Amino acid sequence: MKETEIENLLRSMQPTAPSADLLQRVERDMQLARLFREAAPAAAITRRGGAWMGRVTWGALGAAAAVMLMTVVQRPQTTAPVVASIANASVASPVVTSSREWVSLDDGGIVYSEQGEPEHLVNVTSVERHRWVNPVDGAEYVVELPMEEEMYLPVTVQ
Amino acid sequence: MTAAENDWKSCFMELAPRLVLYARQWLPSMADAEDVVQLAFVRWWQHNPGGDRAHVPLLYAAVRTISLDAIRSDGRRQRRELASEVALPSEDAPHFDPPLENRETARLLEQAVQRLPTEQREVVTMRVWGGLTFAEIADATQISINTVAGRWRYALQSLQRTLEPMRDDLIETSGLTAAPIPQS
Repeated sequence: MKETEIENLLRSMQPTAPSADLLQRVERDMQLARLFREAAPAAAITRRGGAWMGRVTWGALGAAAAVMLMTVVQRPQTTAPVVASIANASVASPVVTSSREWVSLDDGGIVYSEQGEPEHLVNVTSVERHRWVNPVDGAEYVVELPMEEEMYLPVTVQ
Repeated sequence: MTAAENDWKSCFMELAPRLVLYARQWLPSMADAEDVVQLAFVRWWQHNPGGDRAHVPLLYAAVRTISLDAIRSDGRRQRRELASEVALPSEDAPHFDPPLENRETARLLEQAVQRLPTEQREVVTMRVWGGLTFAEIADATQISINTVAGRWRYALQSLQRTLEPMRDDLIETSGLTAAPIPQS
């Protein structure tokens, strides 16, 4: 049997189509992502009162133990080395850049506000990244804050 | 429906069956494979709105990574479930959807492909049904292009040995034209 015959035989087989449900699930995720993109710039991310701390699990821990990456861009030192600290860096240096990277969105379903209004709950996982440059020694500080938040989107068309 | 919605839907409809087949290299359950494809496709589209086909290998890479992660967590889950003596439902949904007259051919081919070692089957799936080049497969799987080509060659040789005794039946029932047998 020739290799081309085997290839042709294999190519003649059509993979089984996925369930119709899969398309609906992807559509729902796409819709959520679109809502998120539209709502995020308007600072729609809200945290609910005192329950916030209870809801934030690893995000809060991650923030507390903020990953301190000191990518020291050492320049030739003309003075005695400066011992860097987070406090010094944040006070002495302006924030150079801040960015926020969205990691994932999970559908939390429909919930009802205290006023009884239906809202779409979206669990948002993101990472905030802040960079400072210490003007004294040129050291670059990067702080990454992993976060888990709950976003409530108003249900307009359901 | 907006043009963007049409874009992702047509892209999804085209790619989803191949991606599910690819995910099933590791996750035999159709439902598990679909979960993986859902996650991978949505993430891929967020980073690649418009569905540039040059980035399809990245989508396969995402399916691969998520599938392998799922295996790891599933292994833990299965160990827990076995420990609790709960029977797991078996899923043996066919991998291919052949016309009625080709059911037997499909079954034989599916069996032959399933007997291939995982790494060879992966290359065959990506090349034949994913339509990826050797370079794209190498990119998605993070292995060298020579290794990809080698796995492809070994897979074809293995399929050749398995299917040779059934050659005439396969050619006839599949409706394909047989290549002329060289005179030697």
